[in-house]
Amino acid sequence: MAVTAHAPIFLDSLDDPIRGALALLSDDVAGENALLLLQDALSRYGSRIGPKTMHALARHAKSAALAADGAVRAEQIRAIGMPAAQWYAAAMLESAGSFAAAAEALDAMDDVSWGEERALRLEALARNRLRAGQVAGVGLPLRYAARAAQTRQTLVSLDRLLTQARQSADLPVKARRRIAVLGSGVLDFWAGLLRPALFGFDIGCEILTGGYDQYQQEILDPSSRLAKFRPEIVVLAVNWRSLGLLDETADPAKTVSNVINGMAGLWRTCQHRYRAAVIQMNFEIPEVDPFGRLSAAAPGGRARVIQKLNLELWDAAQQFGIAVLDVEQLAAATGKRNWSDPGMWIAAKQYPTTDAVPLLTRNLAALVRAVCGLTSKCAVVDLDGTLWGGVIGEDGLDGIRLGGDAEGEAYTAFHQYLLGLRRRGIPLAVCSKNNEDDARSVFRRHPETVLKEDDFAVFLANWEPKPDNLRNIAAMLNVGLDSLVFLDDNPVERNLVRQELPEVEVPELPDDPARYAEALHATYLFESLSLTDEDRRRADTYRDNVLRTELAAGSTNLDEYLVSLRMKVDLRPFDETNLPRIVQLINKTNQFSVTTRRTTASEAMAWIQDPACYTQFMRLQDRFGDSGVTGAMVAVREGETLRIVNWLMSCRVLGRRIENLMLASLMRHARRAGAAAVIGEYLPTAKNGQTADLFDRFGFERIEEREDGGRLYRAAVPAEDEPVTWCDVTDTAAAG
Amino acid sequence: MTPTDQRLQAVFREFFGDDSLQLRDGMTFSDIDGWDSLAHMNLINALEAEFGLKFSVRELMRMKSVGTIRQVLTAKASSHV
Repeated sequence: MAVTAHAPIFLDSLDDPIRGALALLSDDVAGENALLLLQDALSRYGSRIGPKTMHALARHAKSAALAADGAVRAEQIRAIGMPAAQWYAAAMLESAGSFAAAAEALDAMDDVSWGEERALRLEALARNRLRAGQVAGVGLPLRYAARAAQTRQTLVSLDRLLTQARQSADLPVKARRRIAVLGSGVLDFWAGLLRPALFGFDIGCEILTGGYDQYQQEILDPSSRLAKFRPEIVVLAVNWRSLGLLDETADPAKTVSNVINGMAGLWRTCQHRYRAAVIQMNFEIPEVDPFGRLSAAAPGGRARVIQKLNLELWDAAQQFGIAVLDVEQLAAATGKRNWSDPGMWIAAKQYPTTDAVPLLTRNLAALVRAVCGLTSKCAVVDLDGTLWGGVIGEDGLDGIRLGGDAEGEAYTAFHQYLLGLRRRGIPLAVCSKNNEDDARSVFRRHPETVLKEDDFAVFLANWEPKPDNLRNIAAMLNVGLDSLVFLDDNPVERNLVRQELPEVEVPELPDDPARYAEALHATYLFESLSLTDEDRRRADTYRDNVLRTELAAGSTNLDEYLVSLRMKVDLRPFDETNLPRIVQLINKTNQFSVTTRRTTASEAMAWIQDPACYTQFMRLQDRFGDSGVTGAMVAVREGETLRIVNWLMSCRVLGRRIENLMLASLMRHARRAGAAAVIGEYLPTAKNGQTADLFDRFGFERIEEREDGGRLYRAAVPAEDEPVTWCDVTDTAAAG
Repeated sequence: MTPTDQRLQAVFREFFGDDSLQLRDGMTFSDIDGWDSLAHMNLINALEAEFGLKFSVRELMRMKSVGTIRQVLTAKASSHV
C-alpha cells in the first residue's frame, strides 16, 4: 500500500478523515502502513466523533484486533489520547477479550458527547463492565445511555444488554410496573423498547404486547392474555387509520362522540376490571389527504374531525382520569414525513417509522413515570454560563451577557422557560459557585433579567462543593434528592454531581444557550398528569416553607413555633371540584403515606358516593401563604370498625402536627357513626419509612405483622376529642 | 467480496449477534437462528440505516433471502452513485 506517504494530504482533503482512512484500509487492516495512517487520522479528530464514524471505527477495530500484535496496537492507539483513538482502542480490546481494559478506555473518554454518541459510548462502557464482571458499575451507564439514545437500533442493543445484565446483577429501580401495550399496527416493533426507555427513568417493567388490531377483544374478554397478565398500566396505541374515518364525514359531532364513547368504555373496563391506569394515544392528522388543506376547512373533513377528536379526548381524559400521549405533537416534532412511512405500513403494518421510535418510547416512558408519581419536582440552576454569559464575579454587572444582543437574548429566553416552569408549580433554586452578593446583584439590579430574586425558593451561591449544596437544597425544600433536576453548562460539574449524587437528574446541556430550553424540555422530566391551582401556587409554597424554616430557627420550642405560624386547617369530605387535585396527591405522594395505594378518578368518585366510606382532604393556610390541598385520608366501614385505606400528606406540610388533626377527625367520625375501633395499615415502600411507626406513635396496637414488613393496627375510638390550642381547625369531614 | 457484501455481512453479524456468520446467497429464514418475520422487518430497518436508503414495496416483497437482499442492494447502490 503506497498511500501512506501521501496520506496526510489526502486525509486533509476529506470531510471525515477517519472514514476516508478506513475506506483506504479496508483490505489491509493489519499492516504497518495501516497503523500509521490510522494513527494520523485518529489524532485529527477533536472531541466529537459522530455516531456513523463510531460504528465504522468499531467495525474496523474488530478486524484489526485479530492481528497477531493486536494487544500492542491497541495500547499504541490508546496512547494517542483523543476520544476517537480511545474508542477505537476500546473496540479492539473488547474484541480481544480485554473487557476491563476496554471499559477503562471508554471511561477515560472526554464526556462532552451528546445524544447518540453519548449513548454509544455509555452502552459500550456498560457492556464491557458487564463482561468484565464489574456488575455494580453497569446500571448507571446503561441508564444514561437509554436516556441519550437517538436510534431504534441503539435501544435494541440496550434492551439486549439490560436482559443480560439482569441475569447476573440486580439492577435496582425506583418502581416496577406491568404494562400492556395494545392497539393497531404491529406493536412488537417498538413496545418492547419501552423497557430500556423506562430503565432510563429508573423504572423496571414487564411488557405485554397486544395482537395486531385486537385491543378491543383483549380488553373486553375476561379470559384473555391481558386478564392473566393483570396490567397495572394499559397503553392504548390506536392510530388514525383504524378509526376508519372517511375523507369527509356527514355528522362530525356524532362521529367524534362515538369514538370517544367507544374508547371510554375500554378505559372503564381497564380501570374497573384491572384497576389499571390508562394511557391513550391521541391521533396524528395525516398530511396526505385528497382534500388537501380543505381537509381542515370543510366541516366534516378528516383533518378537522381528528382535531376535534383530539380536543375532546383531552377533556374526556380529565373526566375519566386517564392520561393522553400527544402523538399528534410527536408526529409534528419529528416531521410527519419522517413519522410515518406509507411503504412500511402497507408491507409490514409498521407505525410509526424506525426513526420515530426513540421519541415515542421516551415520551411514553416519561408519562409512565408521571403515572408512577415520580415526576421531578424542582429545577436547580447554576448561574455563570447557565443563566447568563460570562462570570459575574469577574466581568461584573456590565460585563455579563444577559439580554441586549443575540447571545444575551438566548439567556433571557431560557429565563422565560424557567419562569414558565415556576408558574406551573416547579420551584426554582440556585446552586452556584459565586460570592452571594455578586450572584444576587444580577437578579436585583440587572436591567434585562427576567428571573427575580423572589422567583427562587432557595438561593445557594457559595464556594462549597455543589453536591453538598444540592443536599442542602433538597433538605430545605423537604424533597428527595431524586426530585431535583440540576442544570449546569459545565460538563465537569455535571459529572461530579452525577458521580456523587446519582439520584439527582443532571441533563446534558448543549454548547449553545439558545438550545438550553429545548434540551431541558426534551428530558420530559417535568411531565405530569394534570395541572391544578395547587400546582400553580406550589413554587410560592416551597419558597414560603424556607421562610418558615428560618422562623423556626428563631423559635425555642415547637409549640411556640406552631402558634406563631397562625395556621388554619380545613378538613373536608372529598368533592367533585377538588377531585383532580386529590387524585393527583394520592398518586404522587411517596414519603408521608401509610399504604401508598394509588387510585383513579373513577375509584375516588365511587368513594364519594359510597355512604360506608369516610373521605377527608386537608387544606392548610398560614401567615406565609396557602398550601392548598395537601393531605387526604380514606377509610371504609367494615362491621364494627373503620379501616384506613389511604392516609397521606404532602411533604410540604410535615412537622406541624397536622397528622394529629387528620386522625382526630377520623376518630370523631368513628364515634359519631358508632364504630368501636379504627384499623390502621402500614405497607412499607422504599420511601415511606417516616410513617413506619406512625400508628405506634398514636398508641395503636399491632394486631398483625407480615413477612414483607406490612402491619395491621387497631385502636379503640376515644370517648372525646383532645382540645387543639395551636391552630384553628374546621372539620366537616366527620359525620355531623 | 465487494464492499457492499462486506457491509451486508457486518449488518447480519451485528444484528444476529454472531461474529462468525458467513453469508451465502441461498440462505433464507430457516438458515439463521432468530430470523423470523418480525426480525426480518427489523433487519430491513437496520439495512436502511446502514446504507442510508429506503426500500420500495416491490423491493420489500423480493427481499426474502440473502441472495435477493444482495441483488436489491447492489442494484440500488449502483443506481444511487
